[in-house]
Amino acid sequence: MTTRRFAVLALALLAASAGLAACGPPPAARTPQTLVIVVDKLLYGPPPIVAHVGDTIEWDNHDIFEHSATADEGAFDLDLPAGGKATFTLKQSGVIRYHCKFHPGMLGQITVTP
Amino acid sequence: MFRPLAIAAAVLTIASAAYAAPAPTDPQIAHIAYTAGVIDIAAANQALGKSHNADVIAFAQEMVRDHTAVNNQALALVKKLGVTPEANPTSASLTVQADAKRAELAKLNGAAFDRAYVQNEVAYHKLVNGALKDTLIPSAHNPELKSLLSTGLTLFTEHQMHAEHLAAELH
Repeated sequence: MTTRRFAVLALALLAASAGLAACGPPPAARTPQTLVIVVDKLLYGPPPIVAHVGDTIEWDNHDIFEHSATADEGAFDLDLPAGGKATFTLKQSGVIRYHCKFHPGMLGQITVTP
Repeated sequence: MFRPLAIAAAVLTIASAAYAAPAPTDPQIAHIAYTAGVIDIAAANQALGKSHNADVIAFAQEMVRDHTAVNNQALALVKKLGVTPEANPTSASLTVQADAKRAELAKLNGAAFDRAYVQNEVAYHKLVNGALKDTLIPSAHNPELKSLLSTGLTLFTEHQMHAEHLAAELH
């Protein structure tokens, strides 16, 4: 190997390693989470701070009354028996407003990000 | 005229428990609250036997379910506390007036019954909520009884709102 060839090869290796360092390792796929909203004393608990598409929302009804989690726009209509729970997996980003079909003052909202 | 008079009489009856000495005791409060639930369950059962309107039937089923749950909780609480609910003129008067209202509603059918039942539910829950807020909750001494009454007020306020929405649809 001539000196010139060696220099070209060394430069190529340097360039390649610099490129790899700039890109870094590929980002790990996000693991979907289950986020719990507790229903108690005729109130939906605080919504999750961050909810992503693919996450699952679980409503846990701690009341002695039957409730529902019913999306205003019809994406879901979940019965929540007294002491029971129900889940819904978020399919798209946006704001979901929902209510209890039995107790009209019970209102909730979830903001879903991609 | 009968309805406003009956409601005014009921309001006066419950209010007198607060303003005439002595204030109702915890056993009396428990009896009044339990009786109020029993009355609404009886009204709902009448509706379930007469109405063919799906929304009215769903509302009546909700009244049976929710008031039964509260009353079961109340029974468990008085048992735990070793308290015997005490019959009193207020709960007796509520029962007499509710019997008269059911007899009045029994003469109606179809849409006329639905409207009258739901209108009475609005008035009745307004009456009970006023009594809970102004008389029964402030007079209750036991914290667990007070807490249950407060949950009842939240629940019955939801019922009043639901009945008002239904009344607007049936009008």
